[in-house]
Amino acid sequence: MKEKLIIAFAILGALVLLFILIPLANLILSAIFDTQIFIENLTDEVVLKSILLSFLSAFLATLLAFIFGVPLAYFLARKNFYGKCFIEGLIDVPVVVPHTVAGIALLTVFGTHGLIGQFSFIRFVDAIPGIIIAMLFVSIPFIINYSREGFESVDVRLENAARTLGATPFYVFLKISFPLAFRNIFVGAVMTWARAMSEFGAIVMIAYYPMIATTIIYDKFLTTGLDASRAVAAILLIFCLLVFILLRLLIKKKK
Amino acid sequence: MANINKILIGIVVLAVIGVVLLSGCVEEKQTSGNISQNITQNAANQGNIELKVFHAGSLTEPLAEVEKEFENQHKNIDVQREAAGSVQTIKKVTELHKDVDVVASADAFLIPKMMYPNYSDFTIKFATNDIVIAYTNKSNYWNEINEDNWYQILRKDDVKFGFSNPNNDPCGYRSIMTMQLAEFKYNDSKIFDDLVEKNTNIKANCNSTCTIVVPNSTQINPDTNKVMVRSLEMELISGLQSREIDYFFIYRSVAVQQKFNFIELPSKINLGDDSKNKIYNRVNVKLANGQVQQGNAIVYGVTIPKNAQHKKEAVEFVKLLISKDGRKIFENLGQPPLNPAIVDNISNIPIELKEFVIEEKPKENIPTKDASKTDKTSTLKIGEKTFTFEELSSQCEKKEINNQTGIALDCIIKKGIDEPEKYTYALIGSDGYQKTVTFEDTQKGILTNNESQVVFEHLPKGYRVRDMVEIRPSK
Repeated sequence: MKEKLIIAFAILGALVLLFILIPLANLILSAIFDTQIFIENLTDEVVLKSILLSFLSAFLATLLAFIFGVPLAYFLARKNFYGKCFIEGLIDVPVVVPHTVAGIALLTVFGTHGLIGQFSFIRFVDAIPGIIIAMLFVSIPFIINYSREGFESVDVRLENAARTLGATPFYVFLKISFPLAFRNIFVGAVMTWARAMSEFGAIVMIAYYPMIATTIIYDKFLTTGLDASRAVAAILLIFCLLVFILLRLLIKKKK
Repeated sequence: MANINKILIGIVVLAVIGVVLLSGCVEEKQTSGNISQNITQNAANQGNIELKVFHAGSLTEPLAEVEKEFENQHKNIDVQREAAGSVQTIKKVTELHKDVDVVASADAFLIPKMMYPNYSDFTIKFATNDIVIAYTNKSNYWNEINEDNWYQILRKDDVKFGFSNPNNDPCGYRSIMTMQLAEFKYNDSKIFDDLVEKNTNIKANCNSTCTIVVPNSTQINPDTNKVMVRSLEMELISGLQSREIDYFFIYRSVAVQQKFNFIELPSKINLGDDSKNKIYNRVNVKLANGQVQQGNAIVYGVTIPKNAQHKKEAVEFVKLLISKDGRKIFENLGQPPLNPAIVDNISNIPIELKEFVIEEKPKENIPTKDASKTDKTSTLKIGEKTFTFEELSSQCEKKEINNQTGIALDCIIKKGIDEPEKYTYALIGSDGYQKTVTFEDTQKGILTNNESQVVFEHLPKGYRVRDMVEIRPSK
């Protein structure tokens, strides 16, 4: 009986895997089979630079998300207060907001005459900080939510025990809570990075230039057509896949 | 036991994946060649029909109104519109093979260029538009700018302006055409240099005509302190609203619909006057993909793709679009409709639409009983060359003399003769009547549309040659 259930689940699971695999494999393979265009794009400095810029911006966005998101997550996991539900709901909003709306909202705040932009010495419009800020906005919920779950799963009694033995709150956080929740935080960071990589709609509103990978894919589709944009998309996918596999291996080793 | 389980699960997962993959899901090459025209149309009368209308972004508002009206008239049809740049809209049909019932483009020429012959074989031109400069009352110098000084204002250091990416959006290449045409109009050969060349890698080469060369989008490299380039004209709207830019080039319709203030530009540069194509033709834009866009009046085109799933309903939709009701909607929203709409291949359009359109130019090879006479009245021999009147009227400007409008006569002569000042001209009617005039005389003359009669401003009525068939130069 037990085996039957597991086999049924395995079949359903396999179908889900196919659902993910087929479109991706189809995209990558059909791009690679179109060898000439694929090589052309793979050796195109502009394309590679844009992918690098995507990676870098997404990484910086993740770093910022980590620095500001993890403390908030810890706070939410440990404290109960009036209006907490509201805050938790608020954190999820960027995931729901249509990307272009997010872009417009950011433009009105970080634009040259925006609420913050007019006082800022950093330039956001058509500049890398604009890309990062758009990525950060749409992706920060992931690291906050994952980390909060991580901290919630850490037994408070462990922290209390450490406190009774004279450890400072910061020391407890650093030596007990953070390491125990690390796996969640790490996965959250990876998700944040991934979400940042994939963003397009919000970014084109605030920073069409310099062009990141997703902007180039869109532009190639508009100017030269599906073949060229598919090639860039495939290259981007392959790079992302490599990064993902590498990160998974890394965390497995750590475990 | 645990091991057996693991192996078993692995085998099942791999087996399912293998079966599906081997059944050929991965490499599904689409044949983009011939698309069957025999699409089932009996989906009608069976509950709700989803009519897919893909259109240029700048048609969003009027088509939303048309949709409302249409759904009122046809309760069982749900119109689903999808807006994008015109090029992208067509590519959704030709490359992504989406099911589309109606395609409306902001550039009527794109339909024959990109969709003929596999995806469509007719284009109905139904509305026009023109380029204006939009601003708000927070834009720098907004209360100084006008039709005559706009290019001086845009030159100022503390003014930032925008236009859309010419590679992605017809509004973009039209905007830079306008800036180039402005050099001719205002007699200032630095307008394009100062506004475009200095701030981007878009360059113009001018002799008698100008070719503007647009590099790859990544290399346009705009000076983002001075200009804002966005993929689509609609994205510039948020730029203006957030005061990121002071001005941007945009279609009149969008400016009207967004309730922006805007400066109307002279018809010689705004690409809005179908009779000024000869002037607009002086500029063309070479895009990054190698395509060359000729300066032409802005004309909206609509077609029903050959692979439309709901042909019958699509025809109804287009019918409403080009009917009196549709025209009224467009009129109110700043997109002057063409009345009647004009079609290129009248034999290919659905029969229900024929009463609403006229054909662009008569087919030349249609045999008629009185072929010789038809030839005589529809063509004009100029020196060694022969032109149809349609060609002449589309390439030459119109003038008005003694309350009659017609095609400028000197322009007609220039079409056929290289150094027109060197000759005098015998204007010959079909009945053999002829009069001789100088080139200077022809500069004050027109060829009227009806009766092909020549009319001069300064010469007696005896010079009004009727039914002119030839202009013969002599030294």
